[in-house]
Amino acid sequence: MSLLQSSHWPFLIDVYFFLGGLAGGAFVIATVAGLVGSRLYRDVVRAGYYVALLALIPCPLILIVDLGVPGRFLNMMKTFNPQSPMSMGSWALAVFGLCVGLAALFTLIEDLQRKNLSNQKLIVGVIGGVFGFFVAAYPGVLLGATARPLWTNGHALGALFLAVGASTAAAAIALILTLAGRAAGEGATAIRRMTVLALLIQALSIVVFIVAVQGAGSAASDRALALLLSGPFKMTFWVGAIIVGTVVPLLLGLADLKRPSLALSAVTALLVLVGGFLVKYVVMAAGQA
Amino acid sequence: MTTNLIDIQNSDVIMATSNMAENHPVGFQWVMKAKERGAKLIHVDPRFTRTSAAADIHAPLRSGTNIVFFGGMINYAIQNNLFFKDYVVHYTNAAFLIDPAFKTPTDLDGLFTGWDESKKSYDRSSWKYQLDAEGNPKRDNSLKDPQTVFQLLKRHYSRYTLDMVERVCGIPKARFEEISKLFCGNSGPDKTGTITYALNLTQHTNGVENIRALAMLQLLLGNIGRPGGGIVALRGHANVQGATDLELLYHELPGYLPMPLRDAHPDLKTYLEKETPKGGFWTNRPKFMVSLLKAFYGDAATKENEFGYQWLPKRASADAYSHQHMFVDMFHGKLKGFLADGQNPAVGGPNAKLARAAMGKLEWMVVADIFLTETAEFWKAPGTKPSDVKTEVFFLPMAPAAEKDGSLTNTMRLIQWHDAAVKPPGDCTSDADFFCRLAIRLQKLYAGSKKERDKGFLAANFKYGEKAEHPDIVEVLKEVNGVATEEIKDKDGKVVYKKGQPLNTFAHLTDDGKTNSGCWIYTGAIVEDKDGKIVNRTASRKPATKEDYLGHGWGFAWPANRRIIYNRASADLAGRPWSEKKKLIWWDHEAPGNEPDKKGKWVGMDVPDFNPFLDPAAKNGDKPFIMRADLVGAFFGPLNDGPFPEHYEPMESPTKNLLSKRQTNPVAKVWDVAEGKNPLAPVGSPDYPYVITTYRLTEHHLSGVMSRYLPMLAELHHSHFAELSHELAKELGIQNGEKVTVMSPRGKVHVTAMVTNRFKPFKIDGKTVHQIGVPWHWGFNGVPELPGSKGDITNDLSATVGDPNVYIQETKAFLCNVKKGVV
Amino acid sequence: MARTLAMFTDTSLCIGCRACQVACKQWNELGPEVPDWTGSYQNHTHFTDKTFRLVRFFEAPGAAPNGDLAWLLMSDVCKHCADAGCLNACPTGAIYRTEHGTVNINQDVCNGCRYCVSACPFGVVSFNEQTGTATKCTFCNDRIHNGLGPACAKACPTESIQFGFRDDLVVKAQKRVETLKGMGFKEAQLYGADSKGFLGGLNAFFLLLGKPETYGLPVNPKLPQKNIFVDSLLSIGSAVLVGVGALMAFRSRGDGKEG
Ligand SMILES: Nc1nc2c(c(=O)[nH]1)N[C@H]1C(S)=C(S)[C@@H](COP(=O)(O)OP(=O)(O)OC[C@H]3O[C@@H](n4cnc5c(=O)[nH]c(N)nc54)[C@H](O)[C@@H]3O)O[C@H]1N2
Ligand SMILES: Nc1nc2c(c(=O)[nH]1)N[C@H]1C(S)=C(S)[C@@H](COP(=O)(O)OP(=O)(O)OC[C@H]3O[C@@H](n4cnc5c(=O)[nH]c(N)nc54)[C@H](O)[C@@H]3O)O[C@H]1N2
Ligand code: SF4
Ligand code: SF4
Ligand code: SF4
Ligand code: SF4
Ligand code: SF4
Ligand SMILES: [Mo]
Repeated sequence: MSLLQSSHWPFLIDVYFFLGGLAGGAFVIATVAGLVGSRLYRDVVRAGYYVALLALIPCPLILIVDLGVPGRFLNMMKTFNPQSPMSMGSWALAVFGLCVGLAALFTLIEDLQRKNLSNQKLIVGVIGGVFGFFVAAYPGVLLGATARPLWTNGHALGALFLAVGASTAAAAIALILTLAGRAAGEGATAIRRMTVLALLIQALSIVVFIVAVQGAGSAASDRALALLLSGPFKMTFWVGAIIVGTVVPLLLGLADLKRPSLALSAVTALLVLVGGFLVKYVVMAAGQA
Repeated sequence: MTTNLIDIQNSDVIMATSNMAENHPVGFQWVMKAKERGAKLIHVDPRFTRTSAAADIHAPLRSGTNIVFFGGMINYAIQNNLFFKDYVVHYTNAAFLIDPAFKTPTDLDGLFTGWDESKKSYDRSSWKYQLDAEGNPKRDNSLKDPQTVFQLLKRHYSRYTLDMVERVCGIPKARFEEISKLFCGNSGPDKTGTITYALNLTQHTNGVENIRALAMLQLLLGNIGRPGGGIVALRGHANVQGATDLELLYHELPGYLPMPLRDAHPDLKTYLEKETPKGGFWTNRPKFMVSLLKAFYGDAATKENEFGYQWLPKRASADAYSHQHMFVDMFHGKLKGFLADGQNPAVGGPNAKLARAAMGKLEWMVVADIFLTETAEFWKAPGTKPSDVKTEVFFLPMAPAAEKDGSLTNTMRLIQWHDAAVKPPGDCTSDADFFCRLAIRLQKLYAGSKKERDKGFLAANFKYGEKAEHPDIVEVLKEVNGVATEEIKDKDGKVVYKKGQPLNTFAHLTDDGKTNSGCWIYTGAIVEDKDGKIVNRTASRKPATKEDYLGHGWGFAWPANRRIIYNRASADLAGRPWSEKKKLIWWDHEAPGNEPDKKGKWVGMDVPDFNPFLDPAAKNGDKPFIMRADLVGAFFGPLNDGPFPEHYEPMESPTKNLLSKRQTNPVAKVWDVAEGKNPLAPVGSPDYPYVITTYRLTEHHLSGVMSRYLPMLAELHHSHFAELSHELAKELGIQNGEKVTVMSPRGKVHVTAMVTNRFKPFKIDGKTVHQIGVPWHWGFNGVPELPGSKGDITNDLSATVGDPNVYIQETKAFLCNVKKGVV
Repeated sequence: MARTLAMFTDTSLCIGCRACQVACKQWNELGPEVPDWTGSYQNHTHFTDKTFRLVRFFEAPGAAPNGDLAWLLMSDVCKHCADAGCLNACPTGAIYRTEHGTVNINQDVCNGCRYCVSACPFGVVSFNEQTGTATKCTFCNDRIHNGLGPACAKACPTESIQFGFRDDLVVKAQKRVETLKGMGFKEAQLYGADSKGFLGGLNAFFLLLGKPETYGLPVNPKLPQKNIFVDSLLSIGSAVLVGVGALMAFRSRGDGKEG
């Protein structure tokens, strides 16, 4: 009989964490791609910023819906509390949102008027990139800064959420390129490489997370971890997050890099997206149970 | 209560035999204070309760074996010479010699002399003292004579050995010995111990003897009338003490005057002759009785008409009219109507199924209550078809304490006044308003009646203050207190009391009609000061101080604002405190006496329960127990069941009586109810193998109306439940939280099983006996949003049996069975 | 800041009557709620938005000084931590520290994010679905600013809940532990009295008769926000890896082809 209470954040918040991470990851990838070769990776940059925008748009809506009273969202903007990842996150989200908007706007102008705004985009991209990372990672840090035994002992949740943001963003961009029939280009190859790398970081973060919780050694943390590894969430975790979401796409992605195939790319990307969501979902669900 | 809750802080050891922490939590603060000062707390209860949680040691005893417990301790104290000899020799009847014909259950296998099997009663002619030529009891202060009360007592309880306690009560011998040593070892000149009791002792077919056993132990240890000692009788409802003082009872009139019996007391003279003892304070009974009659009948009460004595209703028998008698009679169709004012017998009465069935046989019933009780809605009880019930039921909405002026008398005889905080809503009225209005209307109806029997009612006054419809409660208090009915002058002709002036003390009551008093013990509660201003002492609120730790400035405690009664016993024969540590009142030689040339007075921290100028060396100056005819505490004290408490098993018991051939109290009352409505389980019944006790919870109040109906309180318990041990649960395959059925020969209830370490099986004479516990607060009404606030009525399980002296029910110990699930 | 106020709950004096629990409800006008079955007299598993004081019951066989069963009773409440996880977590500033050192939630500012609910190491903060705000013991903010003590302390018949200046109460509490030890309660200990101890000390601290675990309390609760540093470092590490990885991913072929 535990005294601890749970925030009971609903499924929508999982969606927010997922989309926020995706947006952050996509933005960073677009910026890096733009930095390395704005021409060469034009498709990646465009797709990245658009994906970031699309993923980000629902985020404030979700938060507002969750809070019930729309005006209350603004209360977050009345304080700045460096101790609170949520406060910092909301500020980061605001700044990031601005950057995403600008970046997407610049991209749109470029697309429509065929103007080159790469310098402007670069500035917005670099600033937004930092916040993009923040937006992707802060939910993990936020969870870590609670008393929930699974989260508070995990330490690598920020790292994990950021990696998931990156992997799912890469996968999303890869999927778009593939669907847009641009799978053969340099950008598509690079983004598939990116997917694999991000998955590796994701896998590493999961291991660090589990080891950290295990290492905490308290009865509560053991119980919490058991929920995930052998309790009611074991299927979602092992099958969903680990096998389907991490290991299989990693192997498929590697195979795809060796011998590119349209179908393989698409499947890999889909698995990464689904798996990435499940990773966050299961961490949230088991942590709140 | 002989003492005062505040004084518990001075105890060296406290033996709680009731569940004080749960049922008297506010008073329990003083137990905690004593504990903080190093006192030890013992808790005696079959269950481990919140009182046990606070205790240093818990004695689990099988319900209904209290006399063995106290008897065992009396035996232990005597055998180990732990009793307070000086106190016992001089302040009790231990040294008195008893009639040689008197025999105890030791000789007569469970009976006292005089048993008449055919009449099922005792001829008590041998239950008496040997008297000397002057009519005084003969005595042997060495306590050696085998006919002394002490030797008889010693012999009687010699059967109550440590082994016997273990075999009957189920308390391991070592534990009982430890407790006995702890309790008895903390008595004597500079130590005192106190004992609390409530229903744990009363609700048995030997309820009164249980309490006597406790009182005897306290006498033996010299614990009565002394700081930190005494008997803490913890009372029930907030005003149940007041209700007994004013005698909302069938067998007494206000102020503990016996209710006249039709045959024994044909007229006032006979009544007073028979009921007035030769010694002790009750020699004043005629003054109290006449003043009471004056209060009832006013000017119509005159010397010529025996002050209206003939108008008083009289009892046809002592064995009638109790709560249980009433419901049996109701069921048998002997009663046509019933007024339930502030009680809920559909839930609270024993054998409640019978009670509800009885209500269905009435022509009419009036329920005056602050809520729609289960009694008011008995015709809606589950299993009842409303259309089958012919009784016409009226409900009158009443105002609770907070909505009216008045006083409550709490467990320590403390009368405390309160003013109405808010006006009653709607049609609600106070009970006083209702009864006065009713009486005045009836008087109008009967006006002009020539019948002799109506005269008293017509003469009685129901008008208090200006508005007849709305009595002024201060005027009621004045009448209860007593006033001069005419001007009273002293022998020098000086006016002592004006007509109508409240009396200062019951010492001023007279038997000539010049005073009235509705309840003599309350006299002094409201007085007139020097300027003629009325002072309501029950409303005074001066908290206790270091100098006056008993807080005499807070309310008014009867009698005479005395906080510890029999307090003469706190001093030795010569009037000196037994010890510095335990001083309370003492004889001060130097203090000015009651006459200019005299010196000497009782002084100290309480109002002496004694003539304050009676020199200890004077006649009876060393006799503290002034309410007794012989002025001493009674070890030998005849009741209907005998002069010494003797153990008998409860009416329903899992075991044979190990002390004698007499299984149950030979004089206990068992009602024979028609239609088989009161079946009893036989000894050791295989169908009903478990002992069950019923009790209260802190969070609920009695029949539950005042808690189950209130969401914030109703919420505090999940649902109606039964507590049982892990061992029994395992035997029956019951999980904590599961629904179970508890059944007795009378009925069954469905409750949630609370499996707990706080119940343990007993080893009774080598065999395992399980006991369970079921609180009795639930009924079929409650808060709709909180389903757990409704539940089955525990009293559907209990039986219609009673103690032979006061007919209280035996709801603390009977038999049941438990089945998994709802059956 | 004024002298810190505190509540000292001495569980050795508690008789589990729950007057405190009801008094709190009544004063704060918290409505009733359907109770949980907890297997004992306790009516809720944990604090709720309508139960700011919760009396908890623990059967501990063998734990009494004489080896008997102990029934440990604890009237639990918000600890008003000196380092308060809930306060730090709050993104709106709704949770604030009063001049008396207590922690309170401003209902008008709270936006219902529920972060504080998970951030309290003691499970104190509860979410009220009706108002959509987080609630908890207010330390009777309205009463203490009007010279009345907390309602729960006022109702307690045994002075198990004591209210006063923290420094005074700590001295008193320490003495009480010594007394109890002398009486055979070997495990008697203070929980949260030490301002150098966990969470900077609790402004509602307790005297326990057993180990904190026995009462289901965290042995050494830590401030959740302590994690932010390490977790952020790891996140930065992850960010660096992702960033470098991205550079690598885009660099490896793209070299020089820019144009
Ligand atoms: N909170 C609360 N307080 C109340 C009341 C209430 O309803 N709620 N009711 C008031 C009223 S009207 C009354 S009369 C008093 C009653 O006060 P108590 O007498 O304390 O009340 P009970 O709980 O009925 O019984 C006390 C204990 O007796 C135990 N017991 C059963 N059989 C035996 C036995 O043979 N010997 C011993 N030693 N113990 C035994 C039971 O396990 C139970 O714990 O409480 C008053 N105070
Ligand atoms: N099995 C079992 N049965 C028991 C007991 C037990 O221990 N076990 N205990 C017994 C004992 S000790 C007692 S005292 C009885 C109690 O039994 P009851 O007295 O029948 O029970 P209460 O619920 O107290 O009923 C009192 C009623 O008075 C109403 N009331 C309150 N204030 C006022 C007022 O100012 N005016 C009017 N008119 N009504 C008012 C309340 O709403 C309530 O309905 O139960 C007895 N029954
Ligand atoms: S309910 Fe009233 S009478 Fe009973 S303990 Fe509480 S305050 Fe005293
Ligand atoms: S106990 Fe919890 S709610 Fe109370 S101040 Fe500490 S962190 Fe905040
Ligand atoms: S729920 Fe309210 S009080 Fe709690 S953290 Fe969010 S804004 Fe602050
Ligand atoms: S201090 Fe006030 S709000 Fe807090 S528990 Fe006590 S009564 Fe409730
Ligand atoms: S009011 Fe006091 S004694 Fe009663 S449960 Fe609360 S803390 Fe314990
Ligand atoms: Mo009672």
